[in-house]
Amino acid sequence: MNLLKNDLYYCEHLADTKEHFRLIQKFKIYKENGQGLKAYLMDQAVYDEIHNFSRTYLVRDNATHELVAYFSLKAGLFSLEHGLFVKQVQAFPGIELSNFAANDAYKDVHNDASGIGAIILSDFIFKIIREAQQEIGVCALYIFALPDHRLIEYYTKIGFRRLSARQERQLHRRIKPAYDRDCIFMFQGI
Amino acid sequence: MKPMNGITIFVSKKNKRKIAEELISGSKIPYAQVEKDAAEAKERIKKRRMAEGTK
Repeated sequence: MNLLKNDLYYCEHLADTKEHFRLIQKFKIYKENGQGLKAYLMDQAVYDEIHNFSRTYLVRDNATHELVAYFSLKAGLFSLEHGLFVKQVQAFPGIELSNFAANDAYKDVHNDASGIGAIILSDFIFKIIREAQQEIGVCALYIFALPDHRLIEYYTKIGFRRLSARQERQLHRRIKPAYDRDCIFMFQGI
Repeated sequence: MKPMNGITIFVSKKNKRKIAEELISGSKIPYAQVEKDAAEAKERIKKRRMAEGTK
């Protein structure tokens, strides 16, 4: 079943068909610090899908059906501390973009790498989060970004922002999952 | 009023609202900009594919 589609790509749930389990074995990431994203897709994504911990979406090429990229979304919550003498914590319901990666094997074959991220955000991720926002209260989209300055710059360009150093430290201590060790919390209102 | 760690803390609703408003209005997804970038990228990819005769 095609969940979402544009002129170039379509987007499906990982668990839609068994063919996807074969397809994800061909997913490649060359960067050393991106190996966790590859490992997640191959070893953990199906388990999380079955147990409703996370929804993983595969983006595929309309013409060739190759795997272009994948992303995962899950409901979550983050909190900010404020107050000097009496600490107060305010929680915000959000959606975590927990994984987002392009397939280097696809980029090797096609010269289309530039702009794929913006296309997927605009045509698939934003559509899903806007629909979710109609049904349940969520006020922010957040990520734990890999500590790669080019990636942080990219996320900043598309509207994500970092907390102050103090707030970031506090938040990382409170809620950062082991999976996102060394990653940096970034968020934006939706 | 919320009991936290045995201490009752009064959380000012006005203060909470202000922080939430700052969070939400201060950093909204730039939908228009991302959609514009995406439209440009799609055009670029389509043109390249047509030039290459792939689609």
